[in-house]
Amino acid sequence: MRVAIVIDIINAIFEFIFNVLNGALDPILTQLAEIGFREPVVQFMLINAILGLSIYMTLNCGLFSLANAGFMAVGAYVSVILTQKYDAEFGLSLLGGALAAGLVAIPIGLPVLRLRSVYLAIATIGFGEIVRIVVLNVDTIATDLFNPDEPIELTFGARGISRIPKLTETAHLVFFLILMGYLLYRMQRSRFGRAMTAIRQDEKVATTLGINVVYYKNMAFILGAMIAGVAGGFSGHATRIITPKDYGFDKAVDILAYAVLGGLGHWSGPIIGGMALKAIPERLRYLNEYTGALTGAVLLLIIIYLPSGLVSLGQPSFWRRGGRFEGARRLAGIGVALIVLTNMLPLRNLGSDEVLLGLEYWHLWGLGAGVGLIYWITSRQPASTGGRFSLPMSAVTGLLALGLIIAGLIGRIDQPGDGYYVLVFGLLLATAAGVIPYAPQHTETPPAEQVEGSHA
Amino acid sequence: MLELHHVSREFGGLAALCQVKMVVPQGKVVGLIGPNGAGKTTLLNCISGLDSPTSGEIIFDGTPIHSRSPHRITALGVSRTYQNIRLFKEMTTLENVIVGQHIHGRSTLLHSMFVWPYHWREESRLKKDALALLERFNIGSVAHVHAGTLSYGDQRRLEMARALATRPRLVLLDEPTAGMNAVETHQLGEQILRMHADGITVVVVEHDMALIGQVCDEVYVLNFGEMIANGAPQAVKQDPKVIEAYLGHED
Amino acid sequence: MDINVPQQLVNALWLGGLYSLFALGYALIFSVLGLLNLSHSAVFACGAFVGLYTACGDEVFTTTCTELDRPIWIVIPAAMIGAGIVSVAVDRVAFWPLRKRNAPRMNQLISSIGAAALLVNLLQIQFGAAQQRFPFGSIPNDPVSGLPVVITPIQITALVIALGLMFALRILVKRTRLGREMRTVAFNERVASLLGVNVDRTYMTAFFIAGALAGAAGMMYGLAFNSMTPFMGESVSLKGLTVIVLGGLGSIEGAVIGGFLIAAIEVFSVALGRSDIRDAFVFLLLFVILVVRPRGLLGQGVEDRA
Repeated sequence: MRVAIVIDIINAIFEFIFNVLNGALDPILTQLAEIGFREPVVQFMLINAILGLSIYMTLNCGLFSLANAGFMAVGAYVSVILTQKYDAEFGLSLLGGALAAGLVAIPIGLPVLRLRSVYLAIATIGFGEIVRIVVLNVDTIATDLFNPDEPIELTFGARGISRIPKLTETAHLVFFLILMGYLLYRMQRSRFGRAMTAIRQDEKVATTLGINVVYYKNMAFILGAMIAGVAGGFSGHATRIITPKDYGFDKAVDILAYAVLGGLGHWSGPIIGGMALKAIPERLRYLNEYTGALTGAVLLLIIIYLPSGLVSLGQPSFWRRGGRFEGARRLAGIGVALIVLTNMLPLRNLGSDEVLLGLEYWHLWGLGAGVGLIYWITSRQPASTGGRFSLPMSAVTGLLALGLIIAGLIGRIDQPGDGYYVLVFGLLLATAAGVIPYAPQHTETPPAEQVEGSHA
Repeated sequence: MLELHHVSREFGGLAALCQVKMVVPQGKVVGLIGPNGAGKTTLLNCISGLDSPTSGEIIFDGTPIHSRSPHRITALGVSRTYQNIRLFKEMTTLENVIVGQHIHGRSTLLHSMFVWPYHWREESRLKKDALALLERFNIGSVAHVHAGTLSYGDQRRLEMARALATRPRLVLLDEPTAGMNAVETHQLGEQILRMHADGITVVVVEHDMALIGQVCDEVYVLNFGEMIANGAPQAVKQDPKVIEAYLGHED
Repeated sequence: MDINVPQQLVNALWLGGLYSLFALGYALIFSVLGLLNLSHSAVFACGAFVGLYTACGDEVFTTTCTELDRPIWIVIPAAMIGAGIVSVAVDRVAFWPLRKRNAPRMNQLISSIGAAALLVNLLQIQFGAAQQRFPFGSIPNDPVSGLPVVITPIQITALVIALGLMFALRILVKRTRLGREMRTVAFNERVASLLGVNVDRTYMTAFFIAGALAGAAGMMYGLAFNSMTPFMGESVSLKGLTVIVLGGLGSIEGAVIGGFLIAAIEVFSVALGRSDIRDAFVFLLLFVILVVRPRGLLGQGVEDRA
């Protein structure tokens, strides 16, 4: 009896929370839908944010683990099977997914977390692949082992599980994300979080200060696995169909990209990064076949211009850093990139007569060339670079870019095929990336030796 | 307090330490000197658990510690600094010391999420202790500065403060005065004497003989992994074997 | 079960040659830069398409290749040069700016993913997502007669070229000045530049060689299966990674042995009828080796990367 009452109370509390959240979310979702982000997209942005946090857990402890896609798969399959086969409540199935992922993490973490840097990354990729293969084959193996007459159907192999009830609501995701955000926010200023940061920055010193490194690493690994498991459960119940290939190597690397692009200096980084990496391709969707290429290009631009991730845009020190012209250059670089991104390819799609921002596209080539040239000239003064700068290389890059920009212009005259545009676009990127001088700087991200470890 | 019996450490057949014997009595300041590459840091690594001896025993307060993991050795009361300063550069000075107090905190992740009063009480206690430690080393004014931006001398002092934050009974100092001028070295010597006065046993690896003379009760001399001499600082300085180790053979 | 062992060995041999060749590029970049270059598989695909374009001309942009404009043998040098250039471009765009500012290596990993996405999608835009192939009959893939095993001329060529390139790379790295410079840079970039090594040029050379190897592998892969898609790199990407881990990260001999080993595991597990879990064997092996012997089969001390 008592248990039933407690469950009722908990249910009522959650219902209340979700009602409030729904009320608050409705207008926001309407707004978002108007600018092109429909609710399913928003849901996946939120799921990505949760995934970003899951890998942040481990990265924050100096563990370069790529196992999260595997844990996501475990969470997704377990929770989907729970709701579909056993009619479990959604909340319980999520919990089941998280616990399953956490349980899998224990025996994996103990041997693997001794590895460092790239070795850990590859071992965890191996783990992810094993999970994928097991999910793929668990039906046949189980049938062979236990019941050769009647096929056991649990994961349905490569076909995946389909017709999953769509139980994930935006309010659930927001609630969970807030909970996790709170967890990380509190963690950062707690004994637990400080121990993890210490391990990331210098594992040996941390251990001689009495921090049980093995314990904290495994905790980080397990917590990250559980968060990924929940994200898996949410995503499974948001898509209606899950297949093993949704959780492969690509997904593992994507999750890492959420965190790194968002920035590892602050817990909000992975959230922003996860959302951005869903929003950017969505925003570029109208470019059809160019979407993928541009998403890749944006990824490159962000990582090059904002090495500490998107969160660094919010830090005043970012704008002040590096001397008089550095901020302006940085802005100009981002600006050029944005102009190129937003205008270049749509123009092609709209037909060459149409103009955006009052500029015909050869103006943009000119602009790109001009900016490139200015960068090249200014970068020749060693004082402005603050570091070594190889003049011949910048000259080669600059000339190459100019040459191809001219090629692009000629292509315009000859009714160009797609190739020219793409070529020139790529080279504008090369110009921007290659000719802008770089000053040495402090980054908020942990030094390479710690997070990624040194191969040396 | 600390006893080393026949401690050897070999790296792929090359002996960095060979049958080292050493006794550090309770409450004393013991110096450890020797030419570069003599194995001094390896010895400290073995004591603090970062490295483990290939053979031999290390006994701390009656407990064998040569096969314990470093964090458990620290919990027993051993703490150390590093020759090449190893601070948590992205943390503030204060946070560095608070991390050092790790074993004296009890709050868990759940406490800091849901049991705020407990968390806050512990945090403020740790912070108060940490600030007092910083004051003691005259770096209280830079408590909220990132440790990576501190001056060299301040970084050395912070590292000692962090080592004391674990409330050790034995402190291992690895060349604490490297790169310091004579005045700073002398001040640091006084800090060591203050630890001594607080009843902390100190092992100090040092090249600066003035400091050794200032603080040490006894000196051990290590050369090519072997303990070649020990005794009072003045006596050791006259020892022909020690002079030979430093100046080399004359053949 | 009845396995024709010599036949499977032959299959493993030429496939292993391709895997090794591909993995060598990975290993070279890892040993010189300490960097996992995940765009290597995209360069692999680029090589195949450059070769295809060289041999077939413009018609590959719109439809499929119906007849060859140029002799078939040209595809391999073309693929090597093309992929080499692409690889250098990837370095300039994705890695060099980060290297200049000493960004964490994780950032370089992400930028290599960005570069891979860019390349694969550009290939897709240019050549379409559908499978491209050489015209039937243009590739000598009738089995050589008079041998006890089935092997086609193209497979023999692949194996010979793979072995030749491996041998050449070995000599290049161990015997030549360029190789010495690479090893110096790998040891320590600062020291190398103090010793008068042109670090930038060395990196570019390393990328060119790695790209050329990937291009050769990609082209021969495309020829052997007569099938090329922009995504063809995906199937070898993870395998290449596994190969270099098995062999010992950054070890050239290790990459070669690892390549043949993985191919053998694959070929025999397929022959045993367990193709469904053949990858499981590979990754299980990877996992166990990493845990038991993290430096791989032939990996030396971690300090010694060259």
